[in-house]
Amino acid sequence: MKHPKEEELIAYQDGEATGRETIATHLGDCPECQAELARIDALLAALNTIPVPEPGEGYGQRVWQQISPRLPQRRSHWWDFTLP
Amino acid sequence: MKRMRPSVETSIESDAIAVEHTLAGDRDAFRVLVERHSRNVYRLAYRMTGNQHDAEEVVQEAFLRAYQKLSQFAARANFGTWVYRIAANYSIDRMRQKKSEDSNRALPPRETEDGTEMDLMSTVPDGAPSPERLAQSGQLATHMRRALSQLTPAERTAFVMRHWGGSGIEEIADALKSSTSAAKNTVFRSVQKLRKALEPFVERRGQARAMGTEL
Repeated sequence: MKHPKEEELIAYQDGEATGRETIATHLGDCPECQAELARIDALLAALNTIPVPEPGEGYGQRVWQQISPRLPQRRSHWWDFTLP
Repeated sequence: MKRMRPSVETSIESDAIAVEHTLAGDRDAFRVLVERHSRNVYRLAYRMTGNQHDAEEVVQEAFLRAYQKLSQFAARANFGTWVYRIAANYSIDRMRQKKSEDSNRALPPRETEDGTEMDLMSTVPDGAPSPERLAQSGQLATHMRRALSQLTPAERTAFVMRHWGGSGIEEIADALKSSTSAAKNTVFRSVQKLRKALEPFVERRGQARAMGTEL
């Protein structure tokens, strides 16, 4: 098999590639493609280290306080009252 | 003997029941949904927008829209996934609008001949710090943030949803209002651009770590 294209290796890393078995077999024999895949893995692992600042304790309550005055009144229907 | 009333949180164990109660006019049931899912939506929004202020606005708007559209929510669907998708849709609209406002303010319109969004990777300023300095992890994080900010809104949305949100391609296609093959291609393009922008620094860092010289 020819070397997989970059697109195919990215899709393989992502679990999306068609022909995964063919790519896996090729990877077993090709140090060049193994290194390429390792570089993709390393990049994605590095991106995972970007921190997301914590919104703080009680964030959900704060969101509710901010949006609740802006929520429209929900109209009740007659059938709501017939429910058990 | 006085019977203790169960709190809303304990009586509304599942999202489906909370949605049902909200639709019947119980606003407190919607509060439970907001408190349960806002952190998760915030994490998505932060990764999409890249800053806390915008992320918090996205969270509020996502829940407001969810409340307004709640009658369209399919009872068997997952509320968390649904509100997450609303947040993704709103984030991408907001990023596009901001990008357009920024380019109108300071720069000539940035569009390719076929009218698609221009590849902003070509606008990385010269005089970037040397790889040695970028080996420091703080600088690498800065560089990664910059690379993400230079993706188009569609690419950033696709990348965030796929790699951090674990979204399926169909869900991404829905947020991008594109076909699944176009969505797959957008995910690929985002990774390709990030590789181009960041690999020299990520590799350098890996080498430094292997040699025990990482700062």
